[in-house]
Amino acid sequence: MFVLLRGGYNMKKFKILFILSLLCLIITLIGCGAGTDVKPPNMEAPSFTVDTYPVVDGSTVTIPLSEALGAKLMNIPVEEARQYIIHNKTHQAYLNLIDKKTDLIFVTSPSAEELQLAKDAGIELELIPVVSEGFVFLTNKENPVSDLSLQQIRDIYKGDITNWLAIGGSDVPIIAYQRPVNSGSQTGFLDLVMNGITPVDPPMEQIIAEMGALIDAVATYKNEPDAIGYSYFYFVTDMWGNDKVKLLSVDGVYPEKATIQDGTYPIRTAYYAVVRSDEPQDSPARQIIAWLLSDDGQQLAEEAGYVKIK
Amino acid sequence: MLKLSSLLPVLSSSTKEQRNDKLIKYRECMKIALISLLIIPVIATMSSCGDASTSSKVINSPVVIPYLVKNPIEVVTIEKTDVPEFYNRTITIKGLLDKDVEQSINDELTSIYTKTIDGELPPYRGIKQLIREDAKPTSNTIDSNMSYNYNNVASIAIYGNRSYDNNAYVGLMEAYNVDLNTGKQITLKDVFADDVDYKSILNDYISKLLMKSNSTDESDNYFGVGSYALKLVAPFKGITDSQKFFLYPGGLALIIDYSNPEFDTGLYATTFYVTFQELGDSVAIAERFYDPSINIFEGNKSPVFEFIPSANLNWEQKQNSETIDNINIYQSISYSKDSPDQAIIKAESLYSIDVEVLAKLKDMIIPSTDSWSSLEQYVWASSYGQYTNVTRNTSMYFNSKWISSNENYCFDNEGNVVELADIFVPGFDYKTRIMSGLKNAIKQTNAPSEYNIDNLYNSIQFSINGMDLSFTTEAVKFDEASNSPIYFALTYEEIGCENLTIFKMKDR
Repeated sequence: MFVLLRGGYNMKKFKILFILSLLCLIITLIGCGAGTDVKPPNMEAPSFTVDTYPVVDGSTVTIPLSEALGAKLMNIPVEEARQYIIHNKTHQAYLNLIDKKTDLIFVTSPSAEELQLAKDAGIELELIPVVSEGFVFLTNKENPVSDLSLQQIRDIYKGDITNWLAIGGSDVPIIAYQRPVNSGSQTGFLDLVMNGITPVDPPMEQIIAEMGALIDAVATYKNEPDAIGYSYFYFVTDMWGNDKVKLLSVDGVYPEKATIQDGTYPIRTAYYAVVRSDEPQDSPARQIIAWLLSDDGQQLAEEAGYVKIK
Repeated sequence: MLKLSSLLPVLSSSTKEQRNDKLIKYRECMKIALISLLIIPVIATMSSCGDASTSSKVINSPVVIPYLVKNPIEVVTIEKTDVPEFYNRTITIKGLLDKDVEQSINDELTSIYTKTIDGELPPYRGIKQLIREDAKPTSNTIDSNMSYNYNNVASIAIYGNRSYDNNAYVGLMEAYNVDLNTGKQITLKDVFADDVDYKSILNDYISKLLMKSNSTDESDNYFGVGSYALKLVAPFKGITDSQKFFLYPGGLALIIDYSNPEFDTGLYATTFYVTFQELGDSVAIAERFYDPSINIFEGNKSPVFEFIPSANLNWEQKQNSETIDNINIYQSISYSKDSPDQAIIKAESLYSIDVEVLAKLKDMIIPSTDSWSSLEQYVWASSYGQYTNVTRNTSMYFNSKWISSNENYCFDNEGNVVELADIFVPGFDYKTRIMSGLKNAIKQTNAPSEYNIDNLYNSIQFSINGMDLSFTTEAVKFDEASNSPIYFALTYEEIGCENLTIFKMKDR
């Protein structure tokens, strides 16, 4: 501004220029907005307050979904909505649903134990898939192998394939990392990939635990060219450092939002909204699920980092 | 439709020359306006960066921190203990030459304490479900400590704890990191050399921790490694410019709380401790704010130096338990593989059970009077600055008697054995100082009445530590049931750093 005044121009001219500049800025901003493909809402979002929003529970991995949903439907910033939402992890969420302490949970599919608990309580659970998830395998970016068949993956973890050379890679042994028993990823690995086949013992490492004692623990994935590990797609895609690893195609299909969403990627699961089947059709819980399955709801889920269900 | 000319009266109703002249001026104006549009945000960004970073001193890596220089300020502690549920311990500082800076620092600290005690519920995930508006606090405590106080930088960690009548518990952790030269807060960026990408360094470090702790798995904490039982609820995309942290002598602690919503921390904060050693030669905190030629403190005290303890990296650890001739034997060894070779060789040699000691123990045991006997032996190496101490502690228990001994060996980073005389500058009467420390220790520990002070002195072995030299004597008889060495330490401040050679490697 002082440059203009020093140049001898009067304030009137400056104002004009300022208006012009502002106009340019507005046009630019509008231009940016015009490029965004915003679909009109196909369903009016139900509206709640912090007092009327139902008690929702769920797994850890669905917390961001639940928070984004709460923020949208309570019309408050996510930072505020977050303070009203608690997920007590998968198992406890199922227990809370069965005990009628909550009416809606966002979780993975129930275990046999949880189904039995529901049955014992005379509760029928209704599972509605709301977002897709892929189970992905990752290696170091320098590893020449980029695709494995599902059978090859099983053979690696069965211990039948032990060298990358056998599957088109370098002549180095495969270090196949696993996760701790009973962890979510290991359960997913056994259910979605191994399909009843028992994997070989994973690499172990000695860890100095608390009190200085040495313990044996499942070795954690090391990003080395000879290593292979696994995770859920949700955590891997935006994770810091993912430029140093690569995801492997499975049966020729690369894991990405589109292939997970359309089901062409073969190792696929979902996160579910679960209610008791006697939940009234117009209840807040069902209103929330219905909206989440709408285009706008699915868009919100995608913006929160998940893969659309449809 | 809006015409451009209608916005430009400056161009209308004039002669051709006038119009040309005006057009030129208009174009110049437009150029200036457009340039302004581009430059103003840049200037604004730069000025905001300037606010965050208090130092204009450019420090490039590699940076070596051989030792730290303690700030000679007084830490004033105010403690309110009358109602334990509302315990309150806060600190302020005293001793800066610039009283305005001192006052601003103390004002800021007071403001943080007030917010920590009286502030609204912190925006933790789920907090308003767990602590309803009608919940009554049953305790509300605050504690603070000076976690780092070196090289003209102070770091104060503040801990708030509240509990409510529904058993809910909330933990708060705040940090105040300040440049004592100016009273301005320092940022994580200031901790690092200018030519390093500090976010990448820290993000890589955190990623490794997350991997180790299987953080993406929904589980209880038992999959965690040590204290790093970290759980993610969303992908970790990296820290931000405003990441909370505090410094401690060996490194920095990142505070993870509601400001890091990708982590599941419950209603309390947690910390990632990152040692300076792990951060390598990229840490500029000791250099950036300290100029040995400028004194910012009251009084003209001699500077006091301290070594940074080495982190437990690349760790080797072994242990063994066995029973030989009814004697329960336990031995362990731990050292960093990064220690000098000579120190490792010494440590490994000490790990072996000394057959003579074992034979002596066997001879002393009277089988009929005691049901069991043991020999325990712990060997470890610890490094401070460029020095590595190798220690063996041996304890024998038999016939209801307990005998312990201690051996210390010190090496420099080239593997040379460091002798006691090497530590002190020529001409300094260290014997008198150590002898005085020994006599004090004897007095304070109810040590034996029968001893020869000269023999004890001659048996002395030492370790070079972060803040002091520690000494150990041969085992002496304390009473009928126990023989043990006498331990004592002399701080570098007590000795006077000017009398020590170990800080002479670099003029700071």
